[in-house]
Amino acid sequence: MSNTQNNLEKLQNQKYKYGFTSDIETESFPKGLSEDVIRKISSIKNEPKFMTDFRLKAYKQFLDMEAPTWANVDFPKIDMQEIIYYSAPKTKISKDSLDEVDPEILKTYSKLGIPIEEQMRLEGIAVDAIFDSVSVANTHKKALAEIGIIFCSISEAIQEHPELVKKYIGTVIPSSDNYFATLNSAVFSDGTFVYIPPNTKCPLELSTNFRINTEGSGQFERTLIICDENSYVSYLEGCTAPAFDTNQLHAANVELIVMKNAEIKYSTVQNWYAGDENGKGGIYNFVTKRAICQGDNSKVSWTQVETGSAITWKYPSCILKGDNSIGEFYSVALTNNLQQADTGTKMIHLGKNTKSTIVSKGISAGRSDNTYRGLVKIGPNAANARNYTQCDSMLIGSKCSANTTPYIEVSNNTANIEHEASTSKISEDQLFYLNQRGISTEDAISTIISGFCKDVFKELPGEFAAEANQLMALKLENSVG
Amino acid sequence: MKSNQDSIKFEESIIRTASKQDIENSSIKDLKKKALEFISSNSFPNKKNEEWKYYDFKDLFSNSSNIFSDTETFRQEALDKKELVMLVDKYVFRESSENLIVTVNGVYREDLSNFNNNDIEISNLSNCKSDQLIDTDSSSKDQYLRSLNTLFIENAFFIKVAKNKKIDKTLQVLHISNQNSFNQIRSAIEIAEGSSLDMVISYVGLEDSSYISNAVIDCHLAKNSNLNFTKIQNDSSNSVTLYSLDVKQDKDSNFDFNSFHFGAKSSRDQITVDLNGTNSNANLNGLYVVNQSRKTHQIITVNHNVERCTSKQLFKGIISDEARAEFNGMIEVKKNAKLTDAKQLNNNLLLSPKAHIDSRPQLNILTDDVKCAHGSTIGQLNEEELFYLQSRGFNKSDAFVTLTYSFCQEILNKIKLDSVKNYATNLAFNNISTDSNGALAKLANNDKFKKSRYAKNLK
Repeated sequence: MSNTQNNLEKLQNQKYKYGFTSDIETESFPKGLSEDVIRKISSIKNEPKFMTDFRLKAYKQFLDMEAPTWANVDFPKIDMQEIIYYSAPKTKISKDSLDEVDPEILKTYSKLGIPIEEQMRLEGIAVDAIFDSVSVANTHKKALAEIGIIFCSISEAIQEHPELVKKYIGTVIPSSDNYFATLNSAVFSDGTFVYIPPNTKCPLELSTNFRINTEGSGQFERTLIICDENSYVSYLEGCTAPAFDTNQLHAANVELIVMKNAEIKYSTVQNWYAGDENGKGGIYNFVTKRAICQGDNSKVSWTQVETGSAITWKYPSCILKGDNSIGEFYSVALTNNLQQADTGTKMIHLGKNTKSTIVSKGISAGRSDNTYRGLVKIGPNAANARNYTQCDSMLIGSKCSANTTPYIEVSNNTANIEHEASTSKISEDQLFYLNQRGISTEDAISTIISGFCKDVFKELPGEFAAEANQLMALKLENSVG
Repeated sequence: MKSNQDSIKFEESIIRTASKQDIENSSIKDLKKKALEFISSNSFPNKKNEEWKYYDFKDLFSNSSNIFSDTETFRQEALDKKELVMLVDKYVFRESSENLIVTVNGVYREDLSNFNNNDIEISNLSNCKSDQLIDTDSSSKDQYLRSLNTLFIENAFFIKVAKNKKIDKTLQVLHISNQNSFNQIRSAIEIAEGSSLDMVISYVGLEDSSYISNAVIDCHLAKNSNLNFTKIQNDSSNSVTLYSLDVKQDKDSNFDFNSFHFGAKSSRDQITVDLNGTNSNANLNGLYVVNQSRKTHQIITVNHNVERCTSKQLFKGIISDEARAEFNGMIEVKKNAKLTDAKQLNNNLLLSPKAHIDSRPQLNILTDDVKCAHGSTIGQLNEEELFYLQSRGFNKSDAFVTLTYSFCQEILNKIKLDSVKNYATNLAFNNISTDSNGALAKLANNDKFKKSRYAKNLK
């Protein structure tokens, strides 16, 4: 197996491709969190009073909260005063034309593989790019506006559609929800806002790219997507950050609201900087994502590919309130070196005939820890609820760990719940079989991994699936011995 | 924070009662002092503890406030001997009448036991070797319950099977509880190298007595030994039971555990198996059939500490009326435990609209060369199966009972002795059948069922 070993080492030594920093003048607040900082963020953004109040209320609640410790992740206590809460490129940006965007930023995005100009022309995907704390470019806005779809940064939405923001913000994730979500509610700097009017099928895949650039800054973005009756939208999210030796905090809130007969498909390919092989640096990815199926026959589908971050701690959840509503969760979480991931979902069944599906694939390599933690809760009125859960883990090497911690709480006797899980490794037999047929060990490993993740990747939109496959191969090179 | 106050009240009454005890004259005064120290400086587990997350402390605290309300009569007069002998006669299994150990309200009673086997050594609290009363394991998850047991323990029994002896007669341990008291059951079972033992442990309580029993049992299986341990819990409907079983297994040993839960207002089992020797095997099976407003909690941990061990957990539950059940199973595969093969499965039948189940099948795996799988299902009887039986002449409730029985038969069949099997089967039926017609009526009213093509045939 020495050949494999070599390949593995090569793979593990693969440098983080997106670890560069961009030399752009930014305007940052000094480090620290206080009521003043929050008021300042709010006033820079020229927010109406209800937003300032929303932030301050969250901040007051935050002061009484303690960081949770129940997750199976280990990190030093984060000093909230050591974080820069606002950082923005200095150049004034007009969102209508790309000509005025700082060319450095555009260069950064093309390095990331998202040349925004191209996206403008490329039919099918509309992109909102978020750089540090603010949204820098937003494509296809006009075309979308013609059919009534609002796709813009949340700051813009607060200015232009305050009634919608006021009505929905904080309804799925209340400001006192949890430590990191509350912090986000107080200090969030920007994010994406999408509103799909009734009877509209969004013709494009909407997409956001997040990039943390400034060292020591935290990124707190907030995404709010509302899909009105009989509508459909598919939304993609990608994340990268430069390689710094210090840990950076990313605490985002994502709220999805799905009305009657509507559907939201939310896909994430998360590849934040994971730290080096000794676990130095990397992003703390503490994200609260929650969707509510408000109306009957609504559907939410979460797909996530989590390959980056020093620590991932997120549970995209579905509250299935409407009758016949459907929640889906497809996840691949890959950890290598000293990465830690504690991720899963919550399916809360409240309405009748609600259905949920959970497919979670965890791959741990190196000295990493990978935990699936999920809740399936069937309320007393959720007659004929149905859940199917499958969580498989694959261990690569003997120093990593894979944990499965499901919670199943059922209060209705007409519910049907199935949960199954298995743990396996890439066996030498499988590798030998593929080798025998002329496939190199490295290709054999990616073939096996891509087979293992197939159930999830097939849920990703077109090119993202291909990208995810490549990403997995890249991340795992040289980890089977 | 009412529950918090109740908890403090409970702890206070423990310490108050303990201080009235004559600890100085006890044969294990050092251990009792240590236990008192532990209890004074620690608090009773609460909901923040993952293993107690779903536990309803209300039943425990309400029983305890009755028991402790008059500390002078903490231990009342037990039934007279004649009545006890009649009770023992009622509950002893035919095959075990010569191999019987009896405790009454937690106290080991040599006078009621009937035991005659030279290969098994039985000792009590005053003549046991001090290391038999394992109490020093501070890493134990249930240290509080253990200390509580040590603090109030009056008499206990310790079983030791000599080397290379295959005991062919099943040993029965009968625990009788008949008064409102806080019972401390304690025993330790040591199976020496190359030996094997079959045990049936039955718990019975006089109806209407609202006691709390706190059992602590330690088993050690030496190299190449075998223990078959069947537990049948049929405590009084007003009782609260806490049960901690710790099993340590050496090389090539085999442990079969069958646990049955039918009684008690609230029962909680914490079972921990440590596979410490290579090639050891543990089979844990359980069946809980709960109705009315009973609650049962099964907290099972299997630690694979060394390589090449196997374990299986199969727990089934039938929950009706307003009963609640919890299954919390954990497989821990430690760093060097290569070639582990571990399985865990939990199946539940919910028969009434207000029945509730919390199921948590968990895996913690720290090495790669293992085979681990777990699963959990929650559902109700299959309409098509019910219809099939009815189309062949079964009436509604017979079809219902037949299907429910076949669900639990897999576990009941693990019992070796016929008399024990019949006893357990009857108890299971008692707990199911009270609601059978009700459950069926509810099924017939189910919206989905009404629409199905079978509904009209049911009328």
